[in-house]
Amino acid sequence: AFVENIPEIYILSLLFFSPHFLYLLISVSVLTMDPIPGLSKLTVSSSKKIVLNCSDGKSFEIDEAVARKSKLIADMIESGCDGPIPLQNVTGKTLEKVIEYCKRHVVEFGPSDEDDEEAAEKLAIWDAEFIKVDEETIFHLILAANYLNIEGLLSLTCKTVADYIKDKTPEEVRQIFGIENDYTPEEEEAVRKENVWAFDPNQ
Amino acid sequence: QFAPQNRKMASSSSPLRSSSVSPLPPSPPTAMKDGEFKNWAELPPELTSSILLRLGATEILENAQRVCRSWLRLCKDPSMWRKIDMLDLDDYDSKDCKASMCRRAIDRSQGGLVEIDIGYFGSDDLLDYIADSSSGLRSLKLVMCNQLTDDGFAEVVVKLPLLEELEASYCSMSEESLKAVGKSCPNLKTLKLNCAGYRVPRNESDDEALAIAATMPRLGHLQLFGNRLTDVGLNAILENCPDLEHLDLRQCFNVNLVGDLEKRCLEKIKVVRRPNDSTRDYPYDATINDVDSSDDEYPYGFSDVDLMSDDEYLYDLSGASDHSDDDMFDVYDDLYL
Repeated sequence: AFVENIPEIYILSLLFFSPHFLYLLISVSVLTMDPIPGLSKLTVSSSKKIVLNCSDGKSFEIDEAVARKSKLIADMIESGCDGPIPLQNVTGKTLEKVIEYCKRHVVEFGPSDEDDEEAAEKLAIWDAEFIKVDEETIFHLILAANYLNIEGLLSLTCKTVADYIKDKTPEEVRQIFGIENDYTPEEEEAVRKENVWAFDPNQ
Repeated sequence: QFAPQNRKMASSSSPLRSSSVSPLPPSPPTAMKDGEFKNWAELPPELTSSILLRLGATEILENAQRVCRSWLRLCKDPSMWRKIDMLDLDDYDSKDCKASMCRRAIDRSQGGLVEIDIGYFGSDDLLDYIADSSSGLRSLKLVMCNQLTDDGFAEVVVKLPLLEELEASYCSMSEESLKAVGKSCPNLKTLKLNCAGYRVPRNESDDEALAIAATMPRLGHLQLFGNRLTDVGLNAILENCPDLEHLDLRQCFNVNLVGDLEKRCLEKIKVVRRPNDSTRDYPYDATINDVDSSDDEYPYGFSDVDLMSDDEYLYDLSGASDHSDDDMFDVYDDLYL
């Protein structure tokens, strides 16, 4: 209630109070209206944190090195983008998962080959666990990875989906993807016959 | 313009259309709510392609393109066929069928083929087909193609001057073929020539190593898993391949990587996989052949260690009285008296 009344006090103070008190009141109202307190003190160029704002209002503060896993964000940083980066195509839930991936993948491998082999194996195991999520999540991750231009994540998600539909019949794939069969019966037969390979040296 | 024809949804403009990468994130007409699951069919075509690409050629041709019309359209686009994976190591079908399918895949690339992996059905004819249509090929992988001939292969590589990577694993490729590659492909940077490892010492050959040393000066990555080369061959390679950064000598049991040779190896080359190193990340079967197949003296499967202890077993069988102290055998003594 006090906060809501400040503007009225502000007007009153203009009329009745000294410049010093006025200054105090203006500072307080500016500070209380600030959505992320202290954010104005952060200058991206001198600190190593990047703030990402999602479509649903959620906000994430992460290390610049982690943020740079996204080529989109890296390019924006390069072209001098200061302040929070708006990501209207990603929700908080998805971005949280994306950030988890980027944090794990920002670790560089050691110089020796032994470290590389073991580290690569550990990373692969981590990836396999990371991607054990439901269909909906993978769907959003693919879109996010594409939008944010994170090659490793796009590769991982696409490969996971590909592995899932591998060896499934076209009808099974249709069910998984919610795709309607828009072939006419004749067309479908023609495409099926294309796959009945007869050895033809002229083909 | 890709219009999803698959689901009759009463949907307004999709926020997904603006998901292509741009310098500044564009603002979509409606923000995507948390939990709003869009139909997979509404995935932008380039992303569907991205998924289908990872299926492998056989899977695409036999299943994926039969799902619906828009997938067929994607599967016919040349951009899907710049890399063809038809190793199909676990998927057996007649060689003719596979070769025919491979040609179909190559046709779809419309000359843009950059990389191709071929399994057991590879032949001179098929390679010729590739070379004729795809002179820009950068990477060729052949696994278990035992129909290839030296002459056929020599004719093929002449037509692939831009080749940068060659793998011929379990193909019994001779040194003549290697020389042909070396001469025709000046850009060759990666060579993988893997085969089953042999532990029997007298089985030595530096033919391949010397051919490589003689004709492939720009090699950066060399994998000779299971090769029969000796220190001589390795020396030749070290001398003549100054750009070598990665050398895989696993299961090359005729190489004695010690002393000065070892030192020079480790100095010149960044990554060296030694003969007895772990084969955990080796993509093929790493079973070692311990016994020369022409040797009938010992049963298949015994290692050198087992051979040494055979004498003990012989003594046991010849009736030594070791078991007289054994309690268990007292029972039998009663029975058979």
